[in-house]
Amino acid sequence: MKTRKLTAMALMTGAALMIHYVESLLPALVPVPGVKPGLANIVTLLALYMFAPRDALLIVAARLILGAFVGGSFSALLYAAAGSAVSLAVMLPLSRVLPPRYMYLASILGAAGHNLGQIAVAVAVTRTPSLVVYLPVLTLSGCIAGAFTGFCASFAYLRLIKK
Amino acid sequence: MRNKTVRACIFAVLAVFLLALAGTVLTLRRDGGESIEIVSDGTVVYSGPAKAEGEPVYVPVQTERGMNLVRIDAEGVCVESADCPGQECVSSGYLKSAYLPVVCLPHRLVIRFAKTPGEGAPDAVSE
Ligand SMILES: [Zn+2]
Repeated sequence: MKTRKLTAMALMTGAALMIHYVESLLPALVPVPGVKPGLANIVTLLALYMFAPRDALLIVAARLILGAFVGGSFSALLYAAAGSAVSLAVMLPLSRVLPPRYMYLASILGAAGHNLGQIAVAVAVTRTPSLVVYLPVLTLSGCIAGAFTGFCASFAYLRLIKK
Repeated sequence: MRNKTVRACIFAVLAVFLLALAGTVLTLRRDGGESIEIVSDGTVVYSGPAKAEGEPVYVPVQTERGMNLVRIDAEGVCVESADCPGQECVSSGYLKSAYLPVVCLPHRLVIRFAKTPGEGAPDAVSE
């Protein structure tokens, strides 16, 4: 691994962690569990477009695990990991076929996948199928947040990184 | 090829968004109302207010299939205990949505918000 790439990856993990931490300090926007802007997704998107899939996965995994230490909890880690796994499963192939200016499409679909993963784990863990009732609200807020983070990421990529 | 992918993604995003929007509208309208009813094997065996201030109200429902103890307290109505195999009715918690009744399938028990005609928003008519 080249030093330059390693530095970039470490920086991005740090940035994602910081975003994640600041976000955990914010009060919940809506009285529904899990409604968060998910701004750390900006970093995930950039990583997917900048690095090989394996390196992007590494950044996300590092952020998740370190995030559990910083302002998170290990019970939340399970939900976050499930959400991120589904989200990555959606965004990774899309990032290979969608040009950077369409990052928001990958981001929105990834966010929807994130919510789906979280609810699936919540249903499985609590054995409460009626939690599915939260899915539409979560997905809707996920779409909006996903569009926002997607636009931020493609702006950063096209204007700052690629230059 | 690229345009095809982009178009497919735009369609997928629109579909997800519209589905979520429709679901959210339904969920936000979920508020069931002031009174609930307990239905055992198709017949209403109890109806009353959806909440009980102070002491909780306990409604035991005993049939040949089994027993469910329904509790109505300050938060709402739920199944306190049951002797059904899966215990799904107990773990599903409080009745929250008019679209998602609390059910105990093995005992054929349904706890739902009572439909109160003429009360509340006009869109309750579209049922
Ligand atoms: Zn039951």
